[in-house]
Amino acid sequence: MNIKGFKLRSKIIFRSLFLGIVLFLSWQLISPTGSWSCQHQFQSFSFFSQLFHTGNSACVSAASPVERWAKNPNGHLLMLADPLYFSVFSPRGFEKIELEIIYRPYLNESQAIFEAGFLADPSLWRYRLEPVYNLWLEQISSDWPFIREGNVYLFQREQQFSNINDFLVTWQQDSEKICKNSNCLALYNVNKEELPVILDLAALGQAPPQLIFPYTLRGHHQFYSYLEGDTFQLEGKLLDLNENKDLDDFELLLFKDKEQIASVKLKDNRLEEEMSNTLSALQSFKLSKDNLEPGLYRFEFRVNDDILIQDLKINSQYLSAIHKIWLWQDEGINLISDASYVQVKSLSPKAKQKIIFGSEEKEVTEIYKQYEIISRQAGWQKVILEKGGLILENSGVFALNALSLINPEYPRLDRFASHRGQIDFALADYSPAEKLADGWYRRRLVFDTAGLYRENSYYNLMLSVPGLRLDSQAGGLIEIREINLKYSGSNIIDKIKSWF
Amino acid sequence: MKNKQKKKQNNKNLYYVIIQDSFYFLSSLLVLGLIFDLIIPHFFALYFNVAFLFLLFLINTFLLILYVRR
Repeated sequence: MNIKGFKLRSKIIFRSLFLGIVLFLSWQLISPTGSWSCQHQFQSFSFFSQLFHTGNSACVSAASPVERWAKNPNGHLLMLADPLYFSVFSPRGFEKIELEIIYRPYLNESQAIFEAGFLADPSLWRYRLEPVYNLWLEQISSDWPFIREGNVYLFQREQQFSNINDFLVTWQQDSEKICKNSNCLALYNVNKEELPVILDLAALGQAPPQLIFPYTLRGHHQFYSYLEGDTFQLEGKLLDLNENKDLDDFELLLFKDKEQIASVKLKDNRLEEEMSNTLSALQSFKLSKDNLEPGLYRFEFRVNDDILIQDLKINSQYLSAIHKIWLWQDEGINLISDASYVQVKSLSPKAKQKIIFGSEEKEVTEIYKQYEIISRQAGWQKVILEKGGLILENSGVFALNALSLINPEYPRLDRFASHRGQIDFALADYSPAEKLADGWYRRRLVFDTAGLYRENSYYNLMLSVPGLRLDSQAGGLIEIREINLKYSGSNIIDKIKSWF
Repeated sequence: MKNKQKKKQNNKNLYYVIIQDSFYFLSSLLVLGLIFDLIIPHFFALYFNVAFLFLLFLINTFLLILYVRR
């Protein structure tokens, strides 16, 4: 064989191969067509799969925390506790993410909801979640009559309505006619902006227009309030505990519906050092906004857990903490809540105490353990605490008394809904899970990437099954075979056009 | 006899060419991986098993040294 000819051919082959690889990687990186996809199959270890990444690409990281998952002999991921986090790779920014999960649910009524979504707000760890599997809806979809309009389903214990709008109008105007109790309707994943307003605002506004909140709040909180006049006024004082290492900026935001209409920001210029555990001096804040229409407003204290808020004064009688309240003081506390359950957690041994919630009493004896209290009485529940320190959470609101309680939200179908046993109607934006062979299910979810948090080419994906816990006796798990991602957006020509 | 020896020598030369070219190829590929990793971390590793590539590179280097010594 001619050695010179062979040398030349060898050079051409290797250089073409290298050039091909450069072109392939550049193509993948730029994704000129505007789409990029990757598959991640959870499978048992094999030499070839590791060697060539077949079905095991690194676009989805290993799940964390490690104690919340295991692998079965087939290599499938077993989700044992809630939540699980993944980092998912995207070579560049796209407009849409299609997330496909192939899974087998082994759930029961106490952990009936499986959701997945991406991190939207990294400072407050807010995720945008979409339903993957809802055991309760899957069950009633086969037992109860239902009406379907687009993706929205109205499930009825007994067939009473033939379209969703008729039901909503009747429920809003004369709910007592079709409901024996206020919890007879539960909503799941429905865009509430398309629904009629639940509150009769005309009936509000009779109370004296001033409220002083007597307790100290710790950390991030959101409140609903009803404004009678045209001026919103909120003032209070803040303290910095200086326990964590981050700067503790204070931000107070006022919203009308989803629109932010006013804000106050106080930078952390306090003299005390972070992590010094030195309490800062009191700092006053005030938010005042004129020319407003009477109506429902929401305000949010966007702060971290180092900030205490006290002496809160608002020019409205209506003030309700949304979904969560964390009070911080040594004296006794009396609140009410409109949800029939509460989840309680203590982060400090000092906060251990007895809590009364509705008809139930519970002793909080361990820190970092989440206690769940379900009241058997109907209507709003009294919440009595010996002192502050406990984080209280539920799907309703917390208020000082029945006069100041205001909740414009429809009751949600959460994992506690089945305990109530009072639901006659369920309105859900949910399509039943797609069944594959051998008990596997597939769910495709589409997310708009606007507002999703992306850092160093990675999004943060969360799989959540509320109530799925390692220490619970209820069991339950999710077996996951595949997580596939498909990104789509503008192609390279549109991208270049948008720059000019 | 001479013909056989010449054929053997010719084959050795061919192996040497392949080993030499694959050495250049693998080193270039590893440098390329490094550059891509600097631009977007972990991107190169999505498509190539870097540990396996590096192992191939080491074997290749070892063979190349053997041939050069001969």
